Amino acid sequence: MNQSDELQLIEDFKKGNEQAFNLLVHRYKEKVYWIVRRLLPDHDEADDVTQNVFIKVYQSLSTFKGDSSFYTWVYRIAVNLSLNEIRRKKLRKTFSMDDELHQYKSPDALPSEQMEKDERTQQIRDAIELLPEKQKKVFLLRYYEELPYEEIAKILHTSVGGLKANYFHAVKKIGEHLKHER
Amino acid sequence: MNAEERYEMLIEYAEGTLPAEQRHTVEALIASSAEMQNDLETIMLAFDSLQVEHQPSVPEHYFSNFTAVLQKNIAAGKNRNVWSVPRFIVSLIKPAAVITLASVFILLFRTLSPAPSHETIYSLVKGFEQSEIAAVIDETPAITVNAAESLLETKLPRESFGIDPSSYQSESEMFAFLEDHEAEQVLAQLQQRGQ
Repeated sequence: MNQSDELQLIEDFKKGNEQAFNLLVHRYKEKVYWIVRRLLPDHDEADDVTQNVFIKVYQSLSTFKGDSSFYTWVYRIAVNLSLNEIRRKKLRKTFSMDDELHQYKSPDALPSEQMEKDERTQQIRDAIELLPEKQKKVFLLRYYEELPYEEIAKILHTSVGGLKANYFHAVKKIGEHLKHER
Repeated sequence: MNAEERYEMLIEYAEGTLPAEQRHTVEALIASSAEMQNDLETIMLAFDSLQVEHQPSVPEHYFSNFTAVLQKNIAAGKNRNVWSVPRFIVSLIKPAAVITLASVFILLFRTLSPAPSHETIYSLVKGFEQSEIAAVIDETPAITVNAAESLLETKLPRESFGIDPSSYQSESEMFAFLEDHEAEQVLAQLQQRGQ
């Protein structure tokens, strides 16, 4: 499916063809899920937000003007809703210990190699979690989504030069966090 | 080479995507700069670790069921919207609630905090030390000090604490409000003035 097919689907949806929306969902559900999941490591939370992203797309698609590409628009919604959820989570965490309790897993249940891998993965997630919001967005879109800087600049409404600096500092901070955890 | 170019080159060098001729330039720079060496080492550690990061698990059939679940959620949202209150009313609820609460608080405050009564002020003044009363008098040159009369009865504006004899309808009413010796002093004063 190329960009003109996408625009056609959007036009069809605007005319009342619900099936056109399903085709767009089919194309982007995994990509959106993974961008959200990188920001929200818990599957259930990522699922809720991913569903909300597409509900928002469904509700707003009639106002989509095509100034940016469809996936740029969808990614922006996904990143913003995920960050909103993170802010809400942080607020909830201030008043409750629930999150820590849910994250706790018995280390006895895992073989040592798996444990080590899990620990490393957790350290990477912690490092990403600690990044400033802008660097976090840039890192996720660049590293995991492998988007070109020009595309990221459109999603985040920023300059390519600034993005390169943000990406460099994000990677460096992750490395520094891992060095410290060793 | 400015900082931005340095960042980009180091990242591309670490990713292995830098063209050969630029790679030599970067290698020469790295060899001559401890800061760049440290940056490269840190970046390489991050990329190496990210490569071994395992993909988090996703429940089986999650993606194949995704669209069906989404359609249910959208339909549920639509049904909810049929019975829901219009948005402009929802947006008015919060300010209206705040105004109502504020009004209730003001009303309660006014009801529960009446203005201090005559008697309250009188009791308060009665509690003053004589020296405090004297200090007030000293700072009030308009009032004439008459050492022969009681401070309480003559030196402070009487209407402020309610022992002006003329404000009482009868002697018994005055006795009800004043201590015995205070009432006697007031009566003596009245007699002196021939009232």
